[in-house]
Amino acid sequence: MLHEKRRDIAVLLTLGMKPFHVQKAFAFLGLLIGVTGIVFAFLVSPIVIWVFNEYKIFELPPEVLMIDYVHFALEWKHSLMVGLSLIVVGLLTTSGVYRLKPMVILRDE
Amino acid sequence: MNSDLITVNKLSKSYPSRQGKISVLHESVLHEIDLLIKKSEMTAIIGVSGSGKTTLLNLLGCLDRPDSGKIFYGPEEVTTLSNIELANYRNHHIGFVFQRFHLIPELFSIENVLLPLRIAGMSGVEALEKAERVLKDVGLEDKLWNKPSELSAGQKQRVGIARAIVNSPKVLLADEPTGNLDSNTTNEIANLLETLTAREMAVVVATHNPELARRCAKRYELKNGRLHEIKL
Repeated sequence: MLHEKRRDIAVLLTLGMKPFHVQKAFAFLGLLIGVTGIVFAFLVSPIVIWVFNEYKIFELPPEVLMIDYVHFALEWKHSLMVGLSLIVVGLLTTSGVYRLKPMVILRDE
Repeated sequence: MNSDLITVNKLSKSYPSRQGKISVLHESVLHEIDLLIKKSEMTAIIGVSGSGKTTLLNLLGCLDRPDSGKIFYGPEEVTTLSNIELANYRNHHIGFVFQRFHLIPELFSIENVLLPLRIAGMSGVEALEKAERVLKDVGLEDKLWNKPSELSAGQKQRVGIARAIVNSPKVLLADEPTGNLDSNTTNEIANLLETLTAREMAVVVATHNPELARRCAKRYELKNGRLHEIKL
């Protein structure tokens, strides 16, 4: 998103906005998208897992593995870890705003 | 009263340019440039593409730091200011106008213009009133609530100029302000830039346009990293 909006960010920097404030705005947006994604995933995944297990979507040859389908279960700890990792990576990428060269971007785009 | 606004002393800037896979040479773009910009004066910087006009504007606009040399705004040396101080300085004292306007497409004209005021910490209502006043000054009173996509090139540049002057800066730096405009609109924009000098604002234009350069009180040519005054 930072790359997509780099022209607008360059404009804001030339107008005197401090890079820290641009970073804060993108961090907030990233956080909002990340948290929305996590909440949505937590609401939807139990239903998806129930459907997978109930209808045995992913079948296996029982003569080989002794079970006839892949059983899914929700591991809250793992889900939380994935969600938090995504948010941390998202926040780290916002530091790219300090490396932008506003006039070069505005001249070239 | 001293009318000197910007004093540039022995300003040099080079950029790394890659030669082959490993070696990096530093290519000198500006070499020991001296320049004096006065209040209420329009100055043209001309030169071929790649001659360093934009680099000079970057440095004058506190968007980049020189390798050596000094820039003074009045008595204050800006080359020693911190990044945060420079951002504040840009917001309060420097306006930028671009060839491709660079308005934020999702925002209305008035919202584009009030951005510098909001960055300066002005309240929403006050900023809205001031932005409206400045847009009326540049002749766009009927385009306050139009988005950039609904404006002609000349109107977009007027919004760009309104955004640049809304904080009443000391200097307006314009990088090819008429580069995307036809000759009639170029004339209108040049007239508008001239009116700004009556407000004690210094206007510095980097341009290829001889007509616009002709209307400037001072003209300089950038050639081989050096600045030469063109005598009138």
